[in-house]
Amino acid sequence: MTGFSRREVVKGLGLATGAALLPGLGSLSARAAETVKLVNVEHDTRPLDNAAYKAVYDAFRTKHPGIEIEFQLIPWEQARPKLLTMAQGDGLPDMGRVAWVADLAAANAIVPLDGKIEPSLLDTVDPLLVQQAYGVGNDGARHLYALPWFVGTQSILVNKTLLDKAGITLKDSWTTDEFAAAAKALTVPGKQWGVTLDGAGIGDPVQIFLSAIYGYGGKWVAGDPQSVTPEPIVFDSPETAAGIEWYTNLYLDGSAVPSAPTDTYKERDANFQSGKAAMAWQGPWSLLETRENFKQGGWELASMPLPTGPGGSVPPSLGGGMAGLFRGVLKDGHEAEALEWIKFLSSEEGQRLYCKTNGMIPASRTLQADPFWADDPLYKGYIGTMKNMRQMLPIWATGLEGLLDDVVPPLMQGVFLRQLTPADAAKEIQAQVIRGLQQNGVRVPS
Amino acid sequence: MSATMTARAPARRPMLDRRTLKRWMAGYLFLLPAMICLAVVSFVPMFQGIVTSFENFSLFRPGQRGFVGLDQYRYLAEDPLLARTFWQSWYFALGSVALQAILGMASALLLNQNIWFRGFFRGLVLIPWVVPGALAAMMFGLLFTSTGLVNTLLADLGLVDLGLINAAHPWLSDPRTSMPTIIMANTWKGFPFFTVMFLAALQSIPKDYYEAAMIDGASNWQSFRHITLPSMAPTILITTLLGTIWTFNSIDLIYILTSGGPYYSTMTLAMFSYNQGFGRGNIGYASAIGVVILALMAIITIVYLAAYRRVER
Amino acid sequence: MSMRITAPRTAAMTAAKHRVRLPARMVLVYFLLAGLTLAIVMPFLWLFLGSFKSSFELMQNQSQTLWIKNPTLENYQRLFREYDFARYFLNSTIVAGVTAVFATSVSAFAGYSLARFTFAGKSFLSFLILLTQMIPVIATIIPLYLWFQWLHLLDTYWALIIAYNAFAIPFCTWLLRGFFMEIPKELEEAAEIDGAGQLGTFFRIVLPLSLPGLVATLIFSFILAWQEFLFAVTFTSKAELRTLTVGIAAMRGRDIVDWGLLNAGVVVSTVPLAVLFAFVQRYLVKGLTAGAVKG
Repeated sequence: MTGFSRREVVKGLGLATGAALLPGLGSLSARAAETVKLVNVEHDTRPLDNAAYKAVYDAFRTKHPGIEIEFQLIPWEQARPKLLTMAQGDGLPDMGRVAWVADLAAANAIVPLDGKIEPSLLDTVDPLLVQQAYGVGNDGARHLYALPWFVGTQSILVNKTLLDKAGITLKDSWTTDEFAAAAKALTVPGKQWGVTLDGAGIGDPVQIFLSAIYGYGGKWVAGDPQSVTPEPIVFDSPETAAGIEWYTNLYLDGSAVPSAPTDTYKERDANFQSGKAAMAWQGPWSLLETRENFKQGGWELASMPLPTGPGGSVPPSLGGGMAGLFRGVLKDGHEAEALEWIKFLSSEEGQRLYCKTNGMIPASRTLQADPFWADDPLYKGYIGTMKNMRQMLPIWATGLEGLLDDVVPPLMQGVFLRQLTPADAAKEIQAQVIRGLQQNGVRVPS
Repeated sequence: MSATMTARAPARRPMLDRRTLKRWMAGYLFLLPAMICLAVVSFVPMFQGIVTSFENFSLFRPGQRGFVGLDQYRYLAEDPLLARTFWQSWYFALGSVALQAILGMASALLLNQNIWFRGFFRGLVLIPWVVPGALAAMMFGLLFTSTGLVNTLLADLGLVDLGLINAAHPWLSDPRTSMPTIIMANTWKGFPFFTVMFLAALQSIPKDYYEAAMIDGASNWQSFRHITLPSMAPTILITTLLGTIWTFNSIDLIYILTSGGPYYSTMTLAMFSYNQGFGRGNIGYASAIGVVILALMAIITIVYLAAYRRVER
Repeated sequence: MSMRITAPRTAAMTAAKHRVRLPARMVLVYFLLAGLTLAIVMPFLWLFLGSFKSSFELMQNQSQTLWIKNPTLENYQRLFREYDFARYFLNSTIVAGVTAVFATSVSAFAGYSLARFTFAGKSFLSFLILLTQMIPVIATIIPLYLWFQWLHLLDTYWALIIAYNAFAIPFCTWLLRGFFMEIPKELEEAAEIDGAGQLGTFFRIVLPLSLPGLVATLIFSFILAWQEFLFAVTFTSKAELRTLTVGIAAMRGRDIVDWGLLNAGVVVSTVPLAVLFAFVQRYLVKGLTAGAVKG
């Protein structure tokens, strides 16, 4: 068969033309809506957190319609292992929550921001918090890695109704001894305990433990923790032992819920929510929900600042939310867009949208003066505590955060169980930390 | 030319003759699909893991990964936690498997009876196995708190008054009872595996064996000992071996309930390895611990199989 | 106390004997069954009932009682409304289903090879197969992750299916090896005398007779994949690909735990499987002609 009918020729030409134009049409539509797709990682996964992100994202979209963000949630317990695993390959997201600046910087998972953002962006944030956003990279130098957008300091949440029943009044400041006395007064054996402590898990147990120690004058290094050069570790000291003793006595006196040695933040929260414990030492993650639940149960929620010890105010941990760029963003070349997002999230507008939705505390001090936080007695304890923030961990100790999560809880549990004295615990923690750092290739001077 | 059965010279050693080779081929071919599947996804990563145990790979120093020979093993030998972790691992694995096997056998025998709603009960027995590990752990954590349901029940049963148990005992927070509690939780979680396997194995025992035994006047217990158990021997052996290997390496329950605490009382080698790897970022060290676990499991497998072959004869 | 057992009975068996023995033995059986059921079910029952209590009620008394004050379905509603739970369920089902079928099939061949054939290197190979399961996951998860990334299989069903099969096949092979070894050799030899090849014998004699074992292995590999967590959370990041275990973990936010939702999640992850098993378990009975071959 050779010849084609005229109809067939026309059909063929039509198809050929269409086929030739199709890619052109495709690129035309692509040029019209050049959407950049980014992936943002996060670990706080409560419904309120998701709503908070949505509020910020909606506002962001009106400003940047060409940027689409997919929010990937990695549950808190799996977050660090998974991010570190992803860092071995190429699977890191573009940007998102940098919950462990020091560890992630050492693992080469995040991208330095120096030179990419205007320093004035960080003017309204407490300098100490800004220092937390710095880490030591693989080149051994300090870099800025993240932009703070909410603060996660701790305070003492109290069930005011139970406190009133026990005749304890709220104060603007109190000492560690007064705190211990209050915990004891609030304990009804078998039914109610003064305080709930978490002796297990990652993050909180260690941070709170260290806060107590610093309140008694103990510390990791004698010099500046922000220095990049290794210094001798001086953790093992009488002050440290005293701090450990005060903290563990809360349990040994019977004022803390008996399951403290194996309680994680989940159990701590459950203990407080159910009224099993009258006080809880924790961050502001569930303030709004707790207040709602308490209202339903006829209780009143209040907060007290962290107590003051012989060594000064017990410092809150410098936790919170910081947004940074992960190495994944270098792969597809959308660094500029990713920067736009994290800058927006950590801007005043972004902070306001986020924190007003889920009840967290904004990093900007000007915003903290907003009546939403300044006039709410619940936030007084948290914001008041912020002035006592201190840098505790030396930044030259690579992998120290993860190491402490592994070393400290078992030894703290040992003291809870009377199998270790506070002095021995201090000594053992120091020994294991030094050993662990050395195993990780960090030279620790003696 | 094919050798027929009748044409074979019986005295010849059947080493590499055609029929033996053909028989061998069948064995290899049947095994081939599995080997292909396992080659890339199992063998290679395992090999890589073993190699890593000779390196100083730290997640926080990715650029400084290098060969260090037996350093990681030396660290392990010097680790003060090693001895305790070692014994606790066996305590956990063997304790769990023994209880699981006993409970599994008992429930398999029960569920083999001609009872009403047998299907329903068999479905029910599967539940502990199916509940995701993390949630089962959370559930047990809540049940065994000092004011939990278990303590309430024990008090109601009067055991507290008898002085056998402390009131409001924090089961998981006391080093004396933490591991037994975890073993209990693990038993609850894992026994349905044994139930299902034993149920299946019970089916292949020819009923005429039992009839013959009954005619001979054997009691139920004797039937069980001399017919049921021996006939199920391969399954019992395999399931307990697999259960041991599996349990030895499992960290789900321990991670959620106690993370190896309190004060190292529930630390097992597998949990230790995980903490070193993902907690401290020391993958080289974690791999070395992993290789030690591998060696231990390999040894007991060989011992198990050798013992079985002797019993078979 | 001695265990009283009986061989499985078919309809043709002595029903009369059964009736006569009913009072004494069966009472014991039902009593033990009740005890077993209670022990299994009690923790789960507590969760099950808890899923019908509001989160607030659960938090109030930490659900120490089994009594439901204000029964509510809101946990289930929220489960499917606020979270993509139906999707998680589908993902788990697909991954576990494919794993179960594939792993059992491949392992059936491999297990038969190890059970009946002899060949050079058999001990070594059978040991090697099991060896891969003896090393803890921490040592192999990063290499595995990198392999999947290189193959662009991350965030797909395939990563999980392949990983779960790699985990299941060694166990299933050895399990089925055990089941195959329990089949009387005479049956296979009879088939071979009749001229059936190895494949023929395998498909026509061995498989049907080992149906209970195959079903048990299918169940085993399905459940293994269904409730696995570490691989699922490591190899997938996208929300659409979450399996049930990961989805439930994602519901546990920082500081506050929604117990009601969690309980409902556990029930949804568990009950359908138990129901499925109740239907599938009928295959866990003696297959066809096992007892018919005499001499």
